[in-house]
Amino acid sequence: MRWINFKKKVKEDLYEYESAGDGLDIWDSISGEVDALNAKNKKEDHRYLLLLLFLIGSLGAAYLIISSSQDSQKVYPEAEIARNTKANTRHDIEDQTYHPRVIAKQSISSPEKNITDVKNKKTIGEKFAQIKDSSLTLNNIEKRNTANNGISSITRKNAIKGISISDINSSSSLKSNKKDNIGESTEKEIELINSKQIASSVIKNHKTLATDNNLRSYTLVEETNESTSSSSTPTILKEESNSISIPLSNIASLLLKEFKIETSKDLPTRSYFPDHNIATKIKSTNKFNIGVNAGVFYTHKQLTAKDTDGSSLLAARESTEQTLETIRGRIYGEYTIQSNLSISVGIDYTRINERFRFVEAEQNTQLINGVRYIFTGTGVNPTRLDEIGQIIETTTTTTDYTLYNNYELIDIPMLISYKWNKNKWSYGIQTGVIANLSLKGTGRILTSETNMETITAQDIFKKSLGLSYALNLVLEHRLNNSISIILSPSMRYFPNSFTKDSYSLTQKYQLIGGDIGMKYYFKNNLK
Amino acid sequence: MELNEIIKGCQQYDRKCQKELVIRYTSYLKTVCRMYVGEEDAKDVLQESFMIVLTKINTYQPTGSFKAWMRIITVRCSLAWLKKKKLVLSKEKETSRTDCIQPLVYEHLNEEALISLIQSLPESQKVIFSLNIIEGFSHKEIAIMLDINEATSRSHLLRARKNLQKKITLDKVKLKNVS
Repeated sequence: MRWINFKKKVKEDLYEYESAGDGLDIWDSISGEVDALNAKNKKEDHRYLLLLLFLIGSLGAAYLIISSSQDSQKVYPEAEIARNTKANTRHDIEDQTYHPRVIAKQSISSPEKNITDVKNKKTIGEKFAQIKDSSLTLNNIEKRNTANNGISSITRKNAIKGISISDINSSSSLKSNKKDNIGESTEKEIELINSKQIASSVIKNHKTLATDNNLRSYTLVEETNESTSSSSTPTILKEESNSISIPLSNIASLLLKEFKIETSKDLPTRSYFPDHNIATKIKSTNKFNIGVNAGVFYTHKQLTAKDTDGSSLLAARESTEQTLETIRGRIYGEYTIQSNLSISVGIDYTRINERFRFVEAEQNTQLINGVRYIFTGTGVNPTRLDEIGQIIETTTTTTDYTLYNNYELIDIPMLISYKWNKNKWSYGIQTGVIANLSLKGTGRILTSETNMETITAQDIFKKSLGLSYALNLVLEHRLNNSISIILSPSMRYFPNSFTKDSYSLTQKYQLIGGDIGMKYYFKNNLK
Repeated sequence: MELNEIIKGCQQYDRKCQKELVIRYTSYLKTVCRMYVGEEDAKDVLQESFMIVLTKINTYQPTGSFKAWMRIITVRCSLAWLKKKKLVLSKEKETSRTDCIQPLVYEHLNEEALISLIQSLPESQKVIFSLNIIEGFSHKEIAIMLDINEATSRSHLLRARKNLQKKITLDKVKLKNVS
């Protein structure tokens, strides 16, 4: 029991007992290590943040890719078709606000009603008879004239709703121009282009198409039955199961070609397209381009000691090395997945420049013949003893070195970019990884506080750095259909040290700067 | 500054909070170090302990006492320090029984005197006495911590008890002689 009491007393007395101690003294001793710990942890936080941003960007890009691929597969939602169809059948065409896109079905989904509404008027049957040996039908244009090949044309006052052409495969000119479009009897999308100029061109030359401000869409329909062209009553078009659609621009060009219209004079250039963005989107879809960039960067270098042994070398290197600019050249190929989304792969050459300043002191000693005077005694008359013989002479030579070191990197950038188009301008964001193929350092750095050596002789740098991260903003201006210029503020983060693990210091870089460049777009596949 | 604020600040690597933590708990943890490693090395062990506390503070779960958490870290740091110094624990068994310590003999001892008494014990006995009596570890836990047999732990504690009895009695005699 008494031992128990003793134990209890010891525990009670000593467990909460506070010895005299100077906390400030302890803090002073560890504050350096604490600062290093804080810096390391904050840096790691920063690193995680960058990684997180990169992952979010990658996920976002992946989502956009998936969603864009899904969008490209579906033609148009049924709801949209229904809405447009409904609008066409209920109201006067002149009063409608058209959806920017119309599909082939739209014009023929309720042909009776469309035709019933038609009041007019002129025919272009004769003209289109020249185009087609077989039946051609202009939908929603009042059938006025008949041709022996079965063309039915329907015109409407101030509104041309569509053109249906049957037996399109027999048209050699159409075949040759748009074989891909009409080779299959499947339904495809048609882009609505509200082009007064095209309409005017056609009308002007042929005087058959109504001068219509609301020229909205054309539909090519492959007829499955014989045409009812001989009748003066409106033609009821067949089911749209075999209908195909092609962009207006193609129809227009085909028509103009057949009518031998000089398009250079009559057809407006792309820049006059009222909805330029649509044209741009069409043009930029599934497109490959190549580019060349050159950039200059501010270089931020991080030298850190792995342990206390490296701290003296760290201080010496920091005092002798000064980072200068970094330059970069890039050649790349870019594939546009969607109008806004593209991926690019290329090859980079990066050179990080540094200045190395070091004053080297070299002491040489040699024996020379001379006289040494030795004075002994005090007072005004000391005794002098002369020694004649060899004495040591020390010569100190100082050399002030100012050298320029550089680190050359060959990399493969793999970037994904998302951009927004606005007329001739586009702006966006680009991110990705840059895989380093090789790293080569040249110049001199310190091996210790007092000695320097060439970088190659020290063999302290890695041969390859692995991955680094890039984040760029992109501003692009299209000079014409083929060439654009680019301005791109960029940053690059190297998570890995340039030095080998065995070296006592880590050496990392961050680059912040910008690129300017030029892009060449290959012939687009406008369909 | 409240303890919660200090802990939160330390978890966010706030230098001011880290400094406050060190200043506030230096005295408390120094006692722990003194009992295990003695006066000379106490400061070094304390520095190491604080560095570990500040490094691992993000792993601290608020469900337990923060002081106890730091104390355990300090104890383990002290043991690691002793291991570095190649503390060898004897494995011989203690068979003799010791007499009871008379209450009146130790009643006059204050905290510093108790610490001095503990420090005067041989290193192995001092460690096991502190772990068992002050920290409350069982012999099984001590055996695992120090990589020894339970029996060895018990024997060292018995020896410590015997030694303490002798010292306390001797001190009492000295005190009597002085008075």
